[in-house]
Amino acid sequence: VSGTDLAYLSAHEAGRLLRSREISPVELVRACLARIEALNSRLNAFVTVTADQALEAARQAEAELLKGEQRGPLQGIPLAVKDIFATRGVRTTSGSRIFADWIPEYDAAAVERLRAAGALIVGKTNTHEFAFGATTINPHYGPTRNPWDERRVAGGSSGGSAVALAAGMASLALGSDTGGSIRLPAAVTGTIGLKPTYGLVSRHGVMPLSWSQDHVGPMARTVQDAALALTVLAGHDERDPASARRPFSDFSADLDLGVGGLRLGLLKEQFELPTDPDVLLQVREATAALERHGAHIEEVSYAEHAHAMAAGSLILFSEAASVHARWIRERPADYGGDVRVRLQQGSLVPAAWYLRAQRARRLLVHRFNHLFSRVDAVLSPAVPVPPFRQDEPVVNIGGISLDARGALLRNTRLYNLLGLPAISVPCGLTRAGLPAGLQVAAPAFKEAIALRVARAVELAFPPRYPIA
Amino acid sequence: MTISRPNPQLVRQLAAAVDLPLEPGAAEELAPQLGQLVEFAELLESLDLAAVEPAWAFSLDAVEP
Repeated sequence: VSGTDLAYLSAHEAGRLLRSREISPVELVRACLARIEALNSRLNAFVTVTADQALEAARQAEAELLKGEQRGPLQGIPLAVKDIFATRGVRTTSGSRIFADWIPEYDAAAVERLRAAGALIVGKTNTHEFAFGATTINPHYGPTRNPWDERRVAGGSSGGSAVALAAGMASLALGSDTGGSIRLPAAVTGTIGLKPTYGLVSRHGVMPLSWSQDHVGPMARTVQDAALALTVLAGHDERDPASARRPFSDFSADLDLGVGGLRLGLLKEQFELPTDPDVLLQVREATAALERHGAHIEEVSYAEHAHAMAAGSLILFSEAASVHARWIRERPADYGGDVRVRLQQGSLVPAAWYLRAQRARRLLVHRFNHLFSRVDAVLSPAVPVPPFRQDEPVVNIGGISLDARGALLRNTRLYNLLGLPAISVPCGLTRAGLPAGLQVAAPAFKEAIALRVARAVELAFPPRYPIA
Repeated sequence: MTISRPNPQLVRQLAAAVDLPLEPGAAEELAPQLGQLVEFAELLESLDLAAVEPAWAFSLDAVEP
């Protein structure tokens, strides 16, 4: 097996080969580190590489496996961690100057769980500053570049994690998602991003942005890997006040049940907004494939879509301004220009607007959940445009000019407000050879349905990688 | 003070009221951005929330079906 083939193994397959001792954790970690060494200066996926610690942990995993000691389903699997998750003894910057030198004494809950299951951290990945933006063009640590075309954005804010997967630098990655920050970088890099139900995965030890819309979730190269990681990540944690007390089972269990008999709704409002024709073509091909496999496809409408966007924005800006209230007053020059303006904007939102948005949210959630009496899951383009050039402020779709950065988040933000699980799965390439993603959203705590639909899409559009 | 159509002067007044320092030129940049949030707030005014209990924060009971 070549180094590149090793680095691109799925976590599931790598785990099987590790347990059967056909490959060793040291070989696997070395393959990922070699890719990081070769590519990170170009792609800037990682801000910190923990090569020595990863190799040491790999040697330990190798010794355990040789003795037949099983630590967990991710034993020996290389993991990339977004740099807003606290990592014990490893610098955690949140993509900021303010936390440039912070070395936590503890692991975030998600990191704890993945480590306990045997995962080995190869490094910390670049993020939009404080996760407050969609491009991962970071003023302090540089831009992360899209491996499909290095002039283009990688999406964000978990752009480094997505690129680490697309470029074969890690087998799994951790991301966070407040408006689409897991799903949109996944969509524009041809990888998988899953935002779970609000409360399913603990956010303890993760830099907050908008606490009532922040989610933590897995990023992967295959749907099966996303399910595998979610099964490890999910569960109650009293350190996160929003953490749910719900029983759950193995999220991989239903993956291959197929979509026969499932009712899938195409969300009218998101399909009707301007969408790049090549992206739309790929999404239509994906929905046609689902129909061929026995799903019933119909259109569904959410008349309050614009209201939900409005409420989500008011909540995001207000909560972010609250999180940053002290620093934006005492150290405004330490922020990059785009994030500083967003925080100043949020600082001027009256409390009455915020409270109205939270109150409206209950109604908006109730109305959307009503759709699930008709369909099992709701589909839309994950991102309405292909990844654009880093210096491109505006994208043009059929003569309509859109703010490029706003367009990235347009279809994902809804599910942060609603708290519902949503996954982005690749559905082929545009004519220009750039990835497109389909978004699948499901009822609360029904991640298994979203994963099952995503798996069917994956079978129709097998994973493709940009750099050999 | 009410916020209708924010202009740079209003932005500077609001920022002063909440002790928010603004760098030169920031008020001009912020005015249209704040204007977008005004539009969002106005849009939410059109929802009939009479039957919705006030929510002080978002909680799981709002998510779960």
